[in-house]
Amino acid sequence: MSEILNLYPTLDESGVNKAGISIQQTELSYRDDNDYYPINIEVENGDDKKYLAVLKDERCVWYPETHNLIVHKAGTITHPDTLFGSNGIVAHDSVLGVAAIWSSKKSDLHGTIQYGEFSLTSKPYFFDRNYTFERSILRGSLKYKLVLYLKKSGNPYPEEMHLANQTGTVLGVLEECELYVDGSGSVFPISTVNEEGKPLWWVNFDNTADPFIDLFEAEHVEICLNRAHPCFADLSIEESLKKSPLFLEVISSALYIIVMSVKELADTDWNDIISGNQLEPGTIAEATYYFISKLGWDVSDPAALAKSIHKYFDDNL
Amino acid sequence: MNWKEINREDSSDRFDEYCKTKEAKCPEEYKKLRDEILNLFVCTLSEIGIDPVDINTKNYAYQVDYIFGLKFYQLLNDRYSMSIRTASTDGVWRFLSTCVVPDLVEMRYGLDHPDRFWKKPKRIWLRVIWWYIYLSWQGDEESTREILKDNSTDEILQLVDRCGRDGYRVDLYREIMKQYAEMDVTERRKDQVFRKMMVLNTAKVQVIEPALVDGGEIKYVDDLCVYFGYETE
Repeated sequence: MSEILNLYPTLDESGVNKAGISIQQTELSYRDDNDYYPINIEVENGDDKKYLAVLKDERCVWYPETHNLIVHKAGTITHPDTLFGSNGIVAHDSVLGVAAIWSSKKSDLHGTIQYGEFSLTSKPYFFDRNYTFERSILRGSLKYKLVLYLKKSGNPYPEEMHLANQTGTVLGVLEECELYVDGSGSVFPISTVNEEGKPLWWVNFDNTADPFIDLFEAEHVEICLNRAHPCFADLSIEESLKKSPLFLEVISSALYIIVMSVKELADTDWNDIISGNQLEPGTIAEATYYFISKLGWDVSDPAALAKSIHKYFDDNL
Repeated sequence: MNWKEINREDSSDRFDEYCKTKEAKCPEEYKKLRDEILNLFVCTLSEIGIDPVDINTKNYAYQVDYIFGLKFYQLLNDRYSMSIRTASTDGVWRFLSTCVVPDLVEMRYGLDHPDRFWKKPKRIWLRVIWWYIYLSWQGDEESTREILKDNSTDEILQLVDRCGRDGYRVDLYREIMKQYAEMDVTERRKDQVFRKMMVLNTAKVQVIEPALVDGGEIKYVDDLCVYFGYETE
């Protein structure tokens, strides 16, 4: 895992301000019996530029298997001229495009939506378009990244030779979001099983998983609690963790096992997890990074990890 | 079709049971689909002119994969409304492989490859051949068959395994498959061009989005081919 080093200027925040780029909030809708209905976007975390959100249909009808999803996006670039020339991001006679790059990781699909193009002479520039994802396409989540890219290359002046000139090159991200289309996406993978003769609890950890690609969910990581065990009632899983020391102890130990297993699996890539470099949301690596960075768990050695997990729960419950 | 799913643990148990009993135990509501799948497989073998014992000799394994794959893909899509959402659901493929036609998977891979039945979701044979055809589809069976006929199981692996972090670029992969088919078969095999193209592509898409290139995916793939010294039509 490594950061991509761009050898050409890309759009930064001051470039966005100078160009007067303003992006309208995404609007979602769907068709049902020839009528159109809105879907609300409820942001779980992040800001205007980068956020995670869940979709809420007030009618409770929309389901990605049976309904389409219409994404409406619009925006304005008031001073496109600032993006061209030696102080901009492309040569004076290039053409820039606005597009969205989307993916739905759980349905293994990746695609683009092209919104339009503009050159030095056109100003200001507006774009406004609906794009329809047909039913039964999206699964898990829709990652949507609105970008500026080089649509047509130009004939750079000598002072523009440092600018990107290969078409298809992404030159800046204007907005980035991940919309969960199936559930909240934040459910911790705990399941109850009924298996006589087996222990009270255990962790299923998929040692064949790729922590940087595979998701932190039951398919690869799962804490199993066994109803068939005589001590199951003592777990009091209907109670909160605070009221059930045994359940808390199980969860703490299970998380310890999970983090140590990820460390062993990641092997030489463990540092990429600790540093959080370009981790994909929802992956095993990203979940582990979250534990370490946001919850403050100490992964320097096994004893420190176990201690810090327990301390975290003591301090935060 | 209401597609059933099965989790890893249950499919593992089901696989172990099949290994012991050699009984498929297909549920009643899946019997019609099972019969149709087996029928397509018999047709495939007779089309190639081989018996089941020959499948893993010479390049027959690939012929089985793509000829049966084409029939299987169309059966699921046209008669059982398979969708992308379903086709990317691990549990659905585990169910088909361990509960509906485990005997068929055994004919192709034997029982020493649990990966192909349930263990590695992206390696389940039925899933792999469905996606191989989907990612190669040229609009109809005839055109798709034409571009696939000279490939080998290596191309299946290289194509389907390269899902990437964000999923498959379907139009790009279909264009790669199309232009690759236009290359001289002996030369491209000797040069291992397909693998090289897929590796270079994986690196390039970090910076360039093929669909956004001036000239789109066609131009992007043209450039990949030229880079390796192949001018396609």
